[in-house]
Amino acid sequence: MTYRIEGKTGTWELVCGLEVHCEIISNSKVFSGASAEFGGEPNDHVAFLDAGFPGQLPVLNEKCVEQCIKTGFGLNAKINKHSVFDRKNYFYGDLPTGYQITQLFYPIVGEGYLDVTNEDGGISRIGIERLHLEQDAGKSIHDMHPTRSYLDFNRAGVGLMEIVSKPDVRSPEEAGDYLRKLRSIVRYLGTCDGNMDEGSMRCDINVSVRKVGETEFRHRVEIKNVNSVKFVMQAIDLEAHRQVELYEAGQTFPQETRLFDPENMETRSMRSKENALDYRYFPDPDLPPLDITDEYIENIRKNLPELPEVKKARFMDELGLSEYDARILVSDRETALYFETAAKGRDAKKVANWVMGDLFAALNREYIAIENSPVSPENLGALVDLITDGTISGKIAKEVFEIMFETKKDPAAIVEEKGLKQVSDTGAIEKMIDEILAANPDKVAEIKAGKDKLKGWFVGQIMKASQGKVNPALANQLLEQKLKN
Amino acid sequence: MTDLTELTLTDALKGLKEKKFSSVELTKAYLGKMEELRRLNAYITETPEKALQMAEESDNRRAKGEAGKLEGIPLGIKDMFCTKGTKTTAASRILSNFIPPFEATTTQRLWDAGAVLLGKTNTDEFAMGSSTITSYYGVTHNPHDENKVPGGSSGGSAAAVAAHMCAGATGTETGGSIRHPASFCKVSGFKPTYGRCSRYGVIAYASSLDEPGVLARSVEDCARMIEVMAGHDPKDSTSSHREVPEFHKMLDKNIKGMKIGIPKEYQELLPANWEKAVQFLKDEGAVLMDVDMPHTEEAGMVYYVISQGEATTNLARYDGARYGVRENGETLDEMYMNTRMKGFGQEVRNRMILGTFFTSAKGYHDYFVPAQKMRSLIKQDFDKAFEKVDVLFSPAVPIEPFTIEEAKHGAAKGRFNDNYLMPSCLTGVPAGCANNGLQVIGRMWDDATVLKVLDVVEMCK
Repeated sequence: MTYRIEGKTGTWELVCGLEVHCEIISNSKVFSGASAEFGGEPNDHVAFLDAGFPGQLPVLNEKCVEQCIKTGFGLNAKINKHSVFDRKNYFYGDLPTGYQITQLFYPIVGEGYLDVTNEDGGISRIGIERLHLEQDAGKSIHDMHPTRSYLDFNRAGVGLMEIVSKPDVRSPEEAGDYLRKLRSIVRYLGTCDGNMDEGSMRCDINVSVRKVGETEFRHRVEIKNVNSVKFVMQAIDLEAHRQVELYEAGQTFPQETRLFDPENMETRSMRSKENALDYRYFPDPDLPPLDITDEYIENIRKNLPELPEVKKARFMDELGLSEYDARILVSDRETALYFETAAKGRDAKKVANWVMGDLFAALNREYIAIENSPVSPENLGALVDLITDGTISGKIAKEVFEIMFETKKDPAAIVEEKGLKQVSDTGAIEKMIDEILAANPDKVAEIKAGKDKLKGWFVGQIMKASQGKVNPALANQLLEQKLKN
Repeated sequence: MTDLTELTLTDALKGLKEKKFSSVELTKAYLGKMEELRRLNAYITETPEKALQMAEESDNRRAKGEAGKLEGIPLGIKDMFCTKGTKTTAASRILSNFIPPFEATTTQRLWDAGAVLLGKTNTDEFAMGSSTITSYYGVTHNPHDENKVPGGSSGGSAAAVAAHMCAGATGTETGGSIRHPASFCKVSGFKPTYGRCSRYGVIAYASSLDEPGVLARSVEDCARMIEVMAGHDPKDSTSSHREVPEFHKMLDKNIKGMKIGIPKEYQELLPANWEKAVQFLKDEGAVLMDVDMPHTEEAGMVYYVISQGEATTNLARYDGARYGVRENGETLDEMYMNTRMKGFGQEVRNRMILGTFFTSAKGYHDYFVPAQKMRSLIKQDFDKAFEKVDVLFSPAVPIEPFTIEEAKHGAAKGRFNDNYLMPSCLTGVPAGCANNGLQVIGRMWDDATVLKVLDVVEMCK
């Protein structure tokens, strides 16, 4: 159902935009040679520039430029050949130079879009306003000492991509799927690890509401630094309802920045627009404008990995998977890679069922990531082969799979070792059937009298006697023949 | 033995090469002069022990036949250049305890060429001024008249060169800070094209204008120093990849047929030696002509808006949190206020306030953007002039040095103080002042021609 808020004075809709900060995957920071690795002892990864020493100058890390362009392609966006770095000025302990280098006026990536699944199961297109390259700040630690604050500059100067959406989001569900899609894309591209818990992907939300039918935007509230998809969805819903209640009570509220508190399920005021900072943006004279060539951009485009949407379409068109299966299998790069390896040269649909069925269940049960699966994709494929060529039955296969999951062994070895090979020798099966029929003359009589259902009971008996090793189709066929005689 | 400090840098190099004296002897002579004239307050920090050690190492290198281009030459370094292990203050209280853990690229190149560090010279605080009176370490006196200022901001370097307290010195220009004190102290000063010398390790004032350069007793001395300092540095994104010629070898004293333009706007006030110098250049075969530089008058305002706007963000890092002097407070904001209020002098604080306004949302629109546009027009003045002439020629500072008292009462704000200097800073072209107070300005990257003409100008006493 379309997301609406029913108020006393009418029906309201949400108008929302997201600003997502993604920490760029690169060896070194965006303007210094220090390591950009997450963690480490405080102030382990700090160059003199990152600590704001006098006379230090920024030198652009080209890897970060490449990562922005890649991500731009992932967002179906225009890559700007000319971009400029600006200084955003403010004082804070964890901002060592007193300004952040960012791109206000000329970002490296311009307009694009992401298609997301909305609450009706349909597709909504969310516009991307821009992606710009900037540096992260350090970290203030306030809880180590009663009266002092400590500073850790490991993160200061790590490259960030800020991805700004247009105010096209109309429901918490769309916001949630936007974030999931975005995370999936940056992970596919290897441009950001998308880890919201560790803060390598962070979200600011702009929320406003308006009556359905209104075309103008009402003023908005910004919610800073929400760190999970679930919280983003909750924060939007809460804030939208808060605004509707205020409007309907005839109250005004300021254009302000708020914080989301998931424990108390509320948003709280941080600062209002009246004392909003003037960041005094101006072009950074230490960095010449960034001018890149068509050739450079084209080179990056040529080497892009297949993106989830394209892969999904291919899974549906070429491999005949359903939309649902394809969507699940492309949702992250590792799953897609696993599936593609396992399905290579095989019935994709069968492999998909095994991946999404037994494999997902076992991995979830043991909390194992798919890239660390004890059953390798090659072995899972081999297992499917054993079913296809009739070596084992589907039922036995499930047993073999569990052994594979425990022992990491390949399925053929397990089948051999445990003697699980399916019996396809008609003579042996006929002998088995004869014995069972002879032992149950009453039931045979009932079948001949027309109680067809009992045939299933006989098949069960055959499977039991053979410990499941008889090919069930063959058993059925032979049983029919015997009963006719 | 004669006083070794009387030798120019070029002559001292010759003497060292011919083993007439050692670097240790030369260095000792300079250290003696520094002690004798300490009252001039040309140096903030003297480094005699380091100097003697470096001189000894230099002599060893020379003995092994490994002499560099400036082997054994004792230099003064403006206290805006970070020197590893040697206190670097920008003449500010806020950095009065700052010992850089790294070396500026330009000074590193001087040491790699064999030069010897005598000490760090005085400057206006963060190079903001043209009298060297805003230094936290007190005013520097003009060696030619100790009641007068040496000019600035590289006043310590100019005074040290003029008083023979070093063989040469580094300086920095943002709005004339090399040529101004060179003119006041009657020494040679040269500011190369913006991008020739790396700014890495040079404490920033206004990044789009700051350019490291040199002061010495002659143009040839300047040329020898600058060719060592210049050249691409991967640590400065604005530094140029262009090849650096051996400037000192290009000073052939031949300017026959060279077209020299004299901007009409730079002739409003002319010094006593002007007519003679013009005639001298004509006699040397140069073709002199007037050129128009119609936007000259605007340069001062443009300079103030841009330099102060940039400075206010460049100096935001001095907050007492990580290095330098800290004045505690109850809150973070209070610590910032106390530190910056007590750490910076009045002139720096004034410029911070103006710069904050010029870069505010409103100020940026009303002042900063128009200033950038005007900067382009000023650049066009130069482009047009250089279509007709090879270099421009004018007085550097057409007035006599003012007294320290006059400087304290704002003499440096007079319109003839830096009118002829600022336009060339805003455009980044190379410019130098000969030791007779006359300047030559050239095309972008044509530093060689500027030095060549200056070398001839200097012959006119």
